[in-house]
Amino acid sequence: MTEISLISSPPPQRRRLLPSLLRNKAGLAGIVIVALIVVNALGAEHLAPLDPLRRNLSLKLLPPAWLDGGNPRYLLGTDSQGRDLLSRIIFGARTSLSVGLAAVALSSLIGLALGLLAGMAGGRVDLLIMRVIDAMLAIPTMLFMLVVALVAGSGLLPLVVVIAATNWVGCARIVRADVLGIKEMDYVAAARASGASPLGLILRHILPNILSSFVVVSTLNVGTVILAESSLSFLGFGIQPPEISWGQMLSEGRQYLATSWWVATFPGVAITLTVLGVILLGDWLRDHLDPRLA
Amino acid sequence: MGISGLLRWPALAIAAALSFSGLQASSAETLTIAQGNDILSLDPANHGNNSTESALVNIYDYLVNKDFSQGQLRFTPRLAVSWSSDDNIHWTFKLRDDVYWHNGDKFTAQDVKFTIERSQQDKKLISSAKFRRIKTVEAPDETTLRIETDGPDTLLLHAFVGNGAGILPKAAFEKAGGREEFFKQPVGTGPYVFKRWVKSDRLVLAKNPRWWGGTPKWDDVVIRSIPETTTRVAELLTGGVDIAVNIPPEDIARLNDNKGTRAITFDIARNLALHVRTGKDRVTGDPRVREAIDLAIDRDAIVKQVLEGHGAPTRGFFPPAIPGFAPELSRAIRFDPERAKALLREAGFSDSKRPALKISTPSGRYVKDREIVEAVAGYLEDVGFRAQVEVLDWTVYNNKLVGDGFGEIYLWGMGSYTDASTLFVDNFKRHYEWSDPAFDALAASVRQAKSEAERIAISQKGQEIVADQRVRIGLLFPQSIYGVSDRVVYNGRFDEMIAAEDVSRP
Amino acid sequence: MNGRSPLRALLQFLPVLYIVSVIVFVLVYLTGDPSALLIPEDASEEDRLALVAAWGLDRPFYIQYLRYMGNILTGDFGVSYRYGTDALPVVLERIPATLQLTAGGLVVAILIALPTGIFAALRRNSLPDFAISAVTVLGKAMPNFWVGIMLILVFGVWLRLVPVSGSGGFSHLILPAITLGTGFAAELTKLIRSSLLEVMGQDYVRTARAKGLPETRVVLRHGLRNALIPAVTMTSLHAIALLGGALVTETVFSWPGLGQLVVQAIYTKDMAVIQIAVFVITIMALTINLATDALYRLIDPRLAR
Repeated sequence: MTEISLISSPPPQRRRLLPSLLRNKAGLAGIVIVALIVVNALGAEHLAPLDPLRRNLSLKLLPPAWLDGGNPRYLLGTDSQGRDLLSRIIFGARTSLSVGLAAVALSSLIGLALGLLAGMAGGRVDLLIMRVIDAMLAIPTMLFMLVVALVAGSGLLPLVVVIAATNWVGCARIVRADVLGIKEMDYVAAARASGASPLGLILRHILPNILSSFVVVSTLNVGTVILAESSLSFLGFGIQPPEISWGQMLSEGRQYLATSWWVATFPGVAITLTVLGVILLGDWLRDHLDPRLA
Repeated sequence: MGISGLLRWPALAIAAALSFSGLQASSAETLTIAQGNDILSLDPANHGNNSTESALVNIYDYLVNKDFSQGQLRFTPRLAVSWSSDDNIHWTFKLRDDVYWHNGDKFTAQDVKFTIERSQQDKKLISSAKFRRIKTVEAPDETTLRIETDGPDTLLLHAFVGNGAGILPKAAFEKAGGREEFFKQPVGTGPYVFKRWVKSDRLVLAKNPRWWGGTPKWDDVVIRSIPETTTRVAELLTGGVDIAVNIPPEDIARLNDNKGTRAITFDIARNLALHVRTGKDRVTGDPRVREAIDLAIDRDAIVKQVLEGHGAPTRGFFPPAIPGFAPELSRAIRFDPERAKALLREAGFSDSKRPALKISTPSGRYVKDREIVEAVAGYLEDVGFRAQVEVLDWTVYNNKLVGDGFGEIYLWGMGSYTDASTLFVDNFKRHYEWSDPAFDALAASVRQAKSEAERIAISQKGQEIVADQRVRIGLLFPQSIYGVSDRVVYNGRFDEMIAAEDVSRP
Repeated sequence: MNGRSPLRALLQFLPVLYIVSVIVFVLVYLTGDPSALLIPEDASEEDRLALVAAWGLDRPFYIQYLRYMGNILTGDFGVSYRYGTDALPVVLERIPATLQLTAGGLVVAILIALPTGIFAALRRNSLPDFAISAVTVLGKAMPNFWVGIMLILVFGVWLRLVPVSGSGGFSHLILPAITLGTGFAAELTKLIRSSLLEVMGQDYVRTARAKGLPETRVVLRHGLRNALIPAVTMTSLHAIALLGGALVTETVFSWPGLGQLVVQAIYTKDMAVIQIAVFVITIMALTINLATDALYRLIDPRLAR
């Protein structure tokens, strides 16, 4: 399959971050959004106005405070169990981000290792890895995730494993393509000819060169993972209580969309906003690290 | 005219121009029913699924009718006009003489004999065990059927209703040359004839003009599969379907406020109960802890607030219409958190040493299942438990059930039963790690019960033992909620079968 | 992959098919046996065990696998536990609906992306360009089922413009196609914009511009052809992903495609159906790849060499 390689030949130039950021409003917005969410996730205990797990059935499905019947204590209203939506969304940021970061870290590591191995070793090893990658690409991602989820069970850790088990493929392909490109460049070939060890070669020449595309792909992947988590929740394999995630809130709230719109709408906005921030950040990183497209 | 009114005019014009079939489906002579899942099979003996049976009752007939309309199970004539037995071992059925199969063949006692024997012989059929107690079937003439059971069987009529009970044609089946071929274009004696089945989408049936019961009420019956609740409700609101099953309680007001639709609620053959481990290595091994759980739960509040009143609190396991219902278990249900706390203290627990337990629940399988369990967990926390809720997908849930992988408690919604003796079918060693000599004696004797009254007495006694020892802690009898279009008159059935003949025009 | 022969591509795919079948068999086996999901609710444990024995589900793993592979080699693709019939037709009858939906989603995406992508490239860094970027990113950031349900509520229930769900006429395809198309339209718009911009900086385009040709013509004549190659690549990758991956959209709109079939097959552990479905999807993916290769040559005859 034809690769959409994000970077090919020129070694990245060091450009200064801040001026670039100020020029790119979208990137700035992305950073601000992501920073806000990270702060929310880290400081959930201090920021959430109420206990996100405290149910009160007599206060179920309260509308947001500014609407008729709203209660000022529950700014964004309550869910079907009478729990505070705002607090749940704030705590949900923690789960969604942890799943996103952990799954991406794991899949990037797998992808990096296999991509490096395939690219550096070549020959049969490369062939085998590429065949497995082809097989993975032939199985629809969601289906693969569902089957793995059935085996792994539901919960935070299984979810990370499930997503990582499918997500490494793209990363591996890009790393391999980059390695192949860089390996042929003059100065790398020269280093090889002068007898540098494979490990030294990887550390000194290959890694620094693929770092930028690696970072970009991984960043954009965080968005994909957060969306995947919500799809898995929709299909019944998400985070389970008492853990809170946006995908789970959205999926459980969707049956109230027509009657109590806020239950699903606010988590939906949270997901959209976060993915938006991540995409903007990733795009800016790409423009910045790979000036070819800027 | 508001914004929606302004937008609606051009919208209507475009809709008229598009002329789509969605609206045509609601022409006066077609009945459209939306179920939550697709039918699994056209073979009545090979699905094990309530909503599949609900569709198939329109194509095939049972030997007898199960009739819950009087609030109690009664068997009434269907393909059989009468039946008798002196000893509950030797049975004689008299069959109708005016019944024809959809292909024009005449229905005879040979067909019933064939249906029973096919099911017994093909072990791969999901309902293969349906007629296990029948030893021999004879068809001495076209309208007489003689059956001998392997002992006194007061439940024989129950075997002739429900999953696997639809009668199949011997001649047509054999002529088709096999199961697979026959069910491509199946033939029954019911009021509607099979036309086509688009899997995951719809089953289409047409009127059987030669039906023995008279002229069927509808020209066509379409049974659609719409798994997503929001979509099912939306179809009902827009007139795409006439009846939509499994409506969440929150949508009742919306359906009633909408012009042209309403919600109906009715009792069904189902109960929700907590199934509890009693092994000594668990906190729930202590009877006092189990009693504390029983007393800590405010069933009234759960029914009122989670189900919006559409259910009945109980400690029992079979609703009143089921033979063997134990009335005591639905009377004077205690909610006593103080006593529950005291019991926990007696059992040696305190604020610094709280009993921890896990409750598992599926999500979306039974009405408000997860919400009910979360509420139960809340009540248990209130009296001093540390309750962890585990929500699982239905597939994983069943795996855990078979593999005995649950924690202390899991929620189970038994249903689709026709008799309380179903209680004894369960294996109480698995999960519950429970055995009780009195209960085991009852389980051994129920199959040999000589009379209906004896069987009912055994079932009731069994339920009381299970409830008193809190092996199962009954929570409630849920109601079913359907959305119904004003184009049709329908009130719902206790066994959740939607026979098109029960639906009429206003 | 460009320029290789169809036969070689097919041969290369055989080991892939084999690896796929092994992965799927192992995973589905690990999820346990389906008996508990099949039996009637009031059946006993004995009934369940009898069924397990009748289906051979109590045999050791390797025996089940050998029997399974042996059957496939003799052309017997197995029986669906769920439907109790041959599994092959169960899968094959879903293909038309799946192709309709896939095509619908792609058409919607292309109809949106082509004009907006070109427009954004022509007016780069203008306000409309930023607006288009913002909307496309938003389209990608929204969960699929959420978009679908909102479309149903707005266009189905509120405006009553289109049927809510199911398959049938062309009008039934509109909402699910839009649901599938929007997310991809976002990516495609961005790709078309950036590849157009990339081409614009190159010498021959500068030359054309220097000759005094109007900007729009320069873009359409020279830019678009080059921008098409990555767009076709992305579209074909996406088409492959949609073949079995539209399951969320299919569920929301109760569209009888492969995605829904496989999800239900996974829920009920219907091994034969899952295997054949993945098989069929793989073969369709291969076909799309070959078609894409042919399309490349059509767009750029230089690749035919």
